[in-house]
Amino acid sequence: MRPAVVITLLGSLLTSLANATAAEPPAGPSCKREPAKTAFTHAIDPYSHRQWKEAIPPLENAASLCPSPGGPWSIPSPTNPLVTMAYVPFFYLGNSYLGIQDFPTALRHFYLSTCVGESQRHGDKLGELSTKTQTSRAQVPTKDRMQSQPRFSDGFSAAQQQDWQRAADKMWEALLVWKEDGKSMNSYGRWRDPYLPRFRLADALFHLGCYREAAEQLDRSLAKDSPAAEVKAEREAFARLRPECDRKIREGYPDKEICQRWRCLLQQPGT
Amino acid sequence: MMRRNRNLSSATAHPFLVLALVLLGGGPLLAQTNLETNAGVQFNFSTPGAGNLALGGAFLALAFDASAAYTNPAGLTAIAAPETLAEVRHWNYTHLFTDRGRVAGQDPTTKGVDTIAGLRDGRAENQVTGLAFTSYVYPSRHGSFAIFRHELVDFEADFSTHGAYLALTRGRGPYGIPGERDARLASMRNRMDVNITAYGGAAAWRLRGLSLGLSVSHFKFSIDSLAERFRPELFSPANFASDPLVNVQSQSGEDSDWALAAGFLWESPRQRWSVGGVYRQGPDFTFEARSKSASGIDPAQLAPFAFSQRAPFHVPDVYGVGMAFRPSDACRLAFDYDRVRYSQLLDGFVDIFKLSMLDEDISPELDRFVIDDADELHLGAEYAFLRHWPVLTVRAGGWYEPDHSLRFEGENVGFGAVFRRRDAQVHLTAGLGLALRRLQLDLALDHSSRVSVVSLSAGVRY
Repeated sequence: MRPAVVITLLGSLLTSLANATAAEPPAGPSCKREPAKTAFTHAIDPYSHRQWKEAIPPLENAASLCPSPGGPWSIPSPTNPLVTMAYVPFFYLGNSYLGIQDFPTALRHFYLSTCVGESQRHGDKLGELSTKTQTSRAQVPTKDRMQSQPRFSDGFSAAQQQDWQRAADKMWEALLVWKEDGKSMNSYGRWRDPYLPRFRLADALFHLGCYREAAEQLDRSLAKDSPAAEVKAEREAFARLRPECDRKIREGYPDKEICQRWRCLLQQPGT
Repeated sequence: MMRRNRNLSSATAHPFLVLALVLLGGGPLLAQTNLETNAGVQFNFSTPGAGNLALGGAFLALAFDASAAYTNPAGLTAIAAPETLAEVRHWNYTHLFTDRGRVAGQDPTTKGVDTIAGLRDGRAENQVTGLAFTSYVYPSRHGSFAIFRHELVDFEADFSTHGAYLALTRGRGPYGIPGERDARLASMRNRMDVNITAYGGAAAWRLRGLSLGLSVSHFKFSIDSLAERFRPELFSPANFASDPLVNVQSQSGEDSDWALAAGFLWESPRQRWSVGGVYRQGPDFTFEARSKSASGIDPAQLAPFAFSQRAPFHVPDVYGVGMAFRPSDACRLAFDYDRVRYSQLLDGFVDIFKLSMLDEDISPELDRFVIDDADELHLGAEYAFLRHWPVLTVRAGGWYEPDHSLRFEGENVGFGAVFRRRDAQVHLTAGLGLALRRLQLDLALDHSSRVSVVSLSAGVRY
């Protein structure tokens, strides 16, 4: 038998094996499986080479396209069909952010990994999740107020552009680093605003349609009771948002997947 | 716009000096001809914004308000919500020119007003107030966009000179123009009004941690200057009422041009460090440079002449790079280095007198006029009192402006006396800012020996 024929047969066999291991799971409620697979595939190579910054964008893309497939799902490496990687984008994102020492963002993704059930789907491969979650939590810089400024600023800008998911993410991280104190902080450019990340998280959750979670954060925010002149705008917004949350809750609204995630995230230690 | 003029040389001169000989002086070039008026005036191409001014102009790595549209368009990505900025500036220009005396190495004759050894400078001041900058910034998911209007130059000069002595042995030239074999320069009355205004648009995009920005500006230029040349008796004081007016030179016209600017801004992930850079292309203009005999001169005594030619005006290109550090949320430090290509002002340099037509033996020596490029250093710091509401910010800084005067290094003694090297200037700056939730007010001062600026700006976000 000619070598070329052997290689062709071997290749076909390996491809069959690879496809067998990449068995399609039942899709979750908001899982766009094919584009998520493409995005995740793009992340495999840089991730396996610890090129964290290169791995993060496709992983984030995959996580947003399919945050929670209905069951275990493994995807073959584009360069080595014998190697497959479990579809656990949040865990990999946590690892990637841990690799670039962005501990609050790493912690958020490890929490999300738990929240979306990655450890249940691929428990055998996520044995380190608990340890890495603890490591990230321990490394969050909670003693320097300025460490929260870039996240507060980023969240502020995202809210201005009505990117509510990012606004909520960054305000949650800011809150993790430095608790809400209502004092002035550089929000962007030359502007300064009261440091009220919990209020701004609530505002973002409201716009995401997570009214119960928004109401809970509003009630915990300093904006509710602060008499400070500089918090006047937030007090007025509170007075408008809080009854609106109650009205939405009374009328009933669909419990979106993203709200379930936020409900889980907001129950994690530190927030 | 309000303008005021005060000629210090005539207001403060000792009576003895009033009788002394006079001489025009050198200084940085304004328009690009060898007219003496251009030697006595100076401006710099300062960047807009009171916050910027108070920081000594060290702004490339900060670029954190709507003035970034002109200064470093990449900084527009730092602006999260639509905002406008308007700035009013008051300039106090001090013109420094050689007014009287005698060139070095010669003793005065002690006849009449020829009593001063060495060249003496005169000073005159002009004040201008105007709307210096306005802009509107609109950030979006697809990038940040801005429109702006910036008065790059708003300049007025008004001064007179008495005519310095050049040589002991020479006779009197009939035209009073430097370059003749003249023992004394003419006494002159000079006025000049220059305005350069940019109307532009800018856009910026963020690519991960790096922001890139681009602006396109349409510059409008106008110049209106007049130099009247009088010829007093050799040892008599200048008297503009009775001395014969022999000729006049004018520089006038309006023009426009387009120019580009591009910048970058990088911020560290924790936003403690930032680095910014910019290239600003200078527009090119032309104007009419005229020289003609005064009306009423006797052709039998002096051949009448009238010349008109196009002269260029190149606004210098600027390259700059800056770095900023934020040790805490309340404090910022910034440093900029700018290279201003003032030497471009000599491109197409024009002999407004057409000396070779007046006297074939005289060369205008245009290639012996020199201007150095300037390496400017800017340093600034600000501190915000975060517990104070509204937030109060104090700023201070300074910048080093090397000599960029037009000087003459040729044989012509007259030009040599007029176009001289001048001292570098150190600008000291300070300012205050008051920040409310949607309104910011900033006040700044910039003082140097040649120009003082007071700036007030207001920024509003929506």
